Amino acid sequence: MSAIEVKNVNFVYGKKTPYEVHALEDINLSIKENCVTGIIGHTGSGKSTLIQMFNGLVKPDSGKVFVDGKDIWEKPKEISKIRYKVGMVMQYPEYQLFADTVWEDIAYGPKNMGLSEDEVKERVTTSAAFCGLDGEALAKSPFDLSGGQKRRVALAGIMAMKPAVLVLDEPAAGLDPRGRREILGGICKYQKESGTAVVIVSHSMEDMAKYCDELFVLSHGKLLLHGDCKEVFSEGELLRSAGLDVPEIYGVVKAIRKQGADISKYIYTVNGAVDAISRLLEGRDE
Amino acid sequence: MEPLIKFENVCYTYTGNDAEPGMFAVHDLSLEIKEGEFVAILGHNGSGKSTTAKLMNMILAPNSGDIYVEGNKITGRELTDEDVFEVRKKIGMVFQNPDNQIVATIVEEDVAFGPENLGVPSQEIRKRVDEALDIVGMREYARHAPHKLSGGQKQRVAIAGVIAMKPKCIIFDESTAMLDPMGRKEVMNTIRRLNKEGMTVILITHYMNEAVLADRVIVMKSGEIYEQGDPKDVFCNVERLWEAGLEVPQTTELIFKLNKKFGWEIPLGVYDFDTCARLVTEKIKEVRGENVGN
Repeated sequence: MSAIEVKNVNFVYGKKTPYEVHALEDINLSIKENCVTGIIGHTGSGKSTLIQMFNGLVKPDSGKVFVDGKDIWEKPKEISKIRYKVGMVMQYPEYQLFADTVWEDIAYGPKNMGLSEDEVKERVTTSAAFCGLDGEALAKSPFDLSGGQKRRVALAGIMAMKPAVLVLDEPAAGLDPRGRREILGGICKYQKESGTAVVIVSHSMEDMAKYCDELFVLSHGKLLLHGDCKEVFSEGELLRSAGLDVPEIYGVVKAIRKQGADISKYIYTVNGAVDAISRLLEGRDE
Repeated sequence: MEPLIKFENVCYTYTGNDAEPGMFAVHDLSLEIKEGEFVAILGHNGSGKSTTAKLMNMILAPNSGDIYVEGNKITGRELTDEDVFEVRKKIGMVFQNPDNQIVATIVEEDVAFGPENLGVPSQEIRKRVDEALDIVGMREYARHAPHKLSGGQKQRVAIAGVIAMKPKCIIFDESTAMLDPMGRKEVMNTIRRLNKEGMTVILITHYMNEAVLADRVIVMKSGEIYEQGDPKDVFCNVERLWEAGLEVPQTTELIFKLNKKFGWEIPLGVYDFDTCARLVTEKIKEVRGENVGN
């Protein structure tokens, strides 16, 4: 069963005004359990609207959204329950911190779920560890931390609710390369150990190639492509026409093939390219 | 000729509290930016890049050390609003989030906001706005509403707003960080074009493939200059950049890793895809040729 299922979903902003925009048009997709799914698309392609449907922040004009096989809008009054199941980390979540200490900020979600004190404690410690926050950081005020650390606190706060699906909108935006690696690496580690579904929205093709198992590409509110990295990034022309691109290394690998070395076509990371070249040299390439 | 911007032993500390005294955001920093130069500043989060930028156009004032703009000292004395105005007229800044920089509800009015505040006569404003929109390629959107533009388009409007103030230098503080790949290309093309036409450009970025386009790269770490020079030379020092929490362009990383793994000696550099591929392919063929010979 899929973690989230979206069926024939449509959404229009500014209906019956001159500013009407068809933000999502007849979208059908399913987010698999136990894997990292990436959603890419140009600015204004409908990514954020789509992920806000996953936890009921936006209600589709038509069509249905299923979480765990259940229509989330069946009982509209209970929609807030869905937000514990589908945890959402918004863009620049560090602006949402509010508590006196990091510990309290992370504990806010689990406490509101009515968990016992021991359970809350356990969850705060585990999720802080995934996000690379140590005991010392937990005692500090979140406002004394650097931007990158604040972001980890916000992320840990959502993880602590143990949502069945974790959705992240641009979790690495504005971070330096090491910060990107640490935060995205932490998210993937969390995914593997928890076995949940993780959805990441990003503009970095290099990061998506490195961390995602499945990709959905949106363009002007429509689903343009779907598949694993191999399938999606082999559509370079289509991606570029949608305002996106392929990872840099893919361009190099393509040029290597053009110059006559029969290296595999499906390479999207530098380490992948190094491995493929060594396979080629040992004469055991595919 | 006097450098456009000069820092002499500049220190800046964000105020701390008793438990944790303030840390140096910028420490004993000396640098010069020449007129017409395209300088990229790199560094991990918290390395002092943005503080440096804010010191350049007087958003912040240093705790010690001196800063000169076109030879005029802008530190060490009581400054009037006029002094600040003079500097900001010369050195404009474009920030990360385009939504935070747009003030008007129509593109051309937004671009006119800066010159209006400088007291430029209205006919001159009209001229400057049109020119600025032409430069960033947004003239046809002059009467559109900014909030309906794409991220790249909005950022170009923000740049036009700075251009209309006719500065000598524009600082881009991670101005492409929130954009999609196409938006980044649009903005980078605009930046390069401005520089070719004589604008001094200071580009603060986390994207190495943007920094490669600069005349000079300054890498900052712990508020100090860690490395600087021609981008080609700086990026060849792969391990040293990794130590500073940075990355190198993927073409350079590939050659570095191949050299390390196979003991090859392909010259390190910053290459376009085809050159990188040619160097690698030649080596592969050479090695395979030997294997056949053996």
